[in-house]
Amino acid sequence: MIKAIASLGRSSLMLLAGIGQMALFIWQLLPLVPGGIWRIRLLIKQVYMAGVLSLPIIVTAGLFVGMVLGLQGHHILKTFNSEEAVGTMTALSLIRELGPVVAALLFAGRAGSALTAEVGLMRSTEQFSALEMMAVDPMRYVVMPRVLACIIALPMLAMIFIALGIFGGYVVTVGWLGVDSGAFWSQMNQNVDWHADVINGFIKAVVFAVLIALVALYQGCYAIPTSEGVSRATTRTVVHASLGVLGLDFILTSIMFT
Amino acid sequence: MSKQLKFEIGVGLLVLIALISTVFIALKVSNFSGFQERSSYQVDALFSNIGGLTARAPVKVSGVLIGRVDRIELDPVSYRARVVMDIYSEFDDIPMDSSVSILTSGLLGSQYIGLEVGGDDMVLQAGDRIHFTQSALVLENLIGRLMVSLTEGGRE
Amino acid sequence: MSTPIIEVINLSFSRGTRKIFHQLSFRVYPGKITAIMGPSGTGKTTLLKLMVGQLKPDHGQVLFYGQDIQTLSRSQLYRLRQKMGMLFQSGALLTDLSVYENVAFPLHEHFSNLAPGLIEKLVEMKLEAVGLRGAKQLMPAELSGGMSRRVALARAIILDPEVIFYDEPFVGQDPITMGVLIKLIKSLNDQLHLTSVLVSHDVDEVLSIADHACVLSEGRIIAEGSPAELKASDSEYVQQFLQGRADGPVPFHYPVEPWSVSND
Repeated sequence: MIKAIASLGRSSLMLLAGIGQMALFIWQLLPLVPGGIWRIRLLIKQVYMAGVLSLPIIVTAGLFVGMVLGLQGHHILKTFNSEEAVGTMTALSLIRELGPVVAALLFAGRAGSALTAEVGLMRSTEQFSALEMMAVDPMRYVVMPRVLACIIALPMLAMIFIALGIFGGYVVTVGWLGVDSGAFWSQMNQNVDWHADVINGFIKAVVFAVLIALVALYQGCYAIPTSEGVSRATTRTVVHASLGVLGLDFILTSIMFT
Repeated sequence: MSKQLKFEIGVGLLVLIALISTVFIALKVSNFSGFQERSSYQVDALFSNIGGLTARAPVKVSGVLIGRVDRIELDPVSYRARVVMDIYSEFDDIPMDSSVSILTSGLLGSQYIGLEVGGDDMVLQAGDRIHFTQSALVLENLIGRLMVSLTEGGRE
Repeated sequence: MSTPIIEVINLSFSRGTRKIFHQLSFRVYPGKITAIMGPSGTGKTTLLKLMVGQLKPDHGQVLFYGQDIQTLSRSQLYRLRQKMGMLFQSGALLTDLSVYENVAFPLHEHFSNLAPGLIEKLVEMKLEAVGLRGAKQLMPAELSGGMSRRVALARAIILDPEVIFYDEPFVGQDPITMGVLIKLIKSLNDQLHLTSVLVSHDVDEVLSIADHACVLSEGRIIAEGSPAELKASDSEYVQQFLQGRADGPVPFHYPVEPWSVSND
């Protein structure tokens, strides 16, 4: 009993310390944002690493999620005799929720874990110390370009995911299940709002990108610099970032769509 | 520097695909109409029941879109629903005595406002009110009336 | 002797409750190779980090040219570090850059206005000095341990530092690489008029090139002097360390209660 209370106390203290450390981490990064944007070469490389390399998984997943949505939507809506609404349903669920959220989850798994592993390894092989000895701030040279690259890459990936998802839904419902193509697009066009739906979905993707970038780099920078420590930190990145995305999504949805 | 070139080409492609996707979503999927809203003027109408009408629902004449519902509120004087509509500026010659009714696209589709053009010489100006309105058909009322007339018909 | 370039005065440092250094003092003179020796776990790498200001001591001072590095601002410290080079145990090359880019990195970062041709010349010169000009297009993953240390050495001297720190340069190297590194450290020190600080536990190699050596034990320096003086030292600990005896003042057994076999 006492042990349980003690462990509760210890874990809440550790949580508090973690939050404090994270806040400090963000505080260190903030002043570097303006300088980071101008290091175009570093930034392009990191956008390539985070964004372009995540493209295959985003493309595949987007197509399949859209196709499944079309299939399921068609089955459900058929019972109400309104198959034409399947386009609206696919588009709205992709734009508002699935696009940003699934793209973010895949991004956390693909790019976030890679970032943690890379930065953790850089620390364990003394590359951070070496940078400092060369009078180069590793926060500026290593961390900042990666954070910015995530924030640039994920919203783009989310838009690609949404577009391909809608295309996948179109292929299944119009091409296969015989929904009228005109009705598919016109219903969608009437019910999807640029400001209320698309912009909000985009904002979600940006918020998720910030979260994933911070979690991944924080875990990388504060990982115990051994191979075991780095591999644990990588797992933590995926778990924390994914849960964070889902939790934030609930909060954002409740602010945006009520 | 071929590595840097590879990065730049890759990122360029990513941006291009993302741009195409965004344009596709903007034009084909959503009702994006440029960065500016189309210029419009507002008129309103009072309904005793709006059914399932929502903001941004279309306003149509003979099935052609001429505007959208801006907002719906309760008129504090008459306790009826006040529907404010944005009518696009190019339709500036709608007679004063036109009537609006809340219609449904399809049996269970979404609801919209249908405008029946009148014959008055006076045309609607910004801030005017359309006085002739017909409320939404509420299915329960309809069925109720049907039941009444059926039972009455049976008695006779 | 001339004035020391680095002075460590009464340095104390602890991690948690464990005291690593206690009242440590020594000096590094310009143009000399100063070696700090001690068995594993005595905090030799920590000492280097304290000397270059990556860690802060609990007490005491580290003076560079008579200036306490703790009182320097971050930018002053960074400016000072451009006069220092450090060779890390693992080389610590940036894994995503090629050998050439690694060596050119400090130049690109601090002197980006130099003509590209000049940067290339400088990099090739330094690579030539470590004998790896032919390997400039390789990636760090393609290098052997000894080669990556040599590349790291080329990188450490690219800004023509005044002091260069070597963290365990000989660990885990084959005899040939070891010989190459010894020759490099010695020749760089003499030709470029560097000051070298060498941290290591490879006694024979270190004593063959060092001008001055300190032996570290239990957070203090227990003996220092020229290699000849150390070899002639009558301290039992120094003798055990230099000759690598298994038992002596540093006991073979980790502290434990005396072994007894009882049958009751």
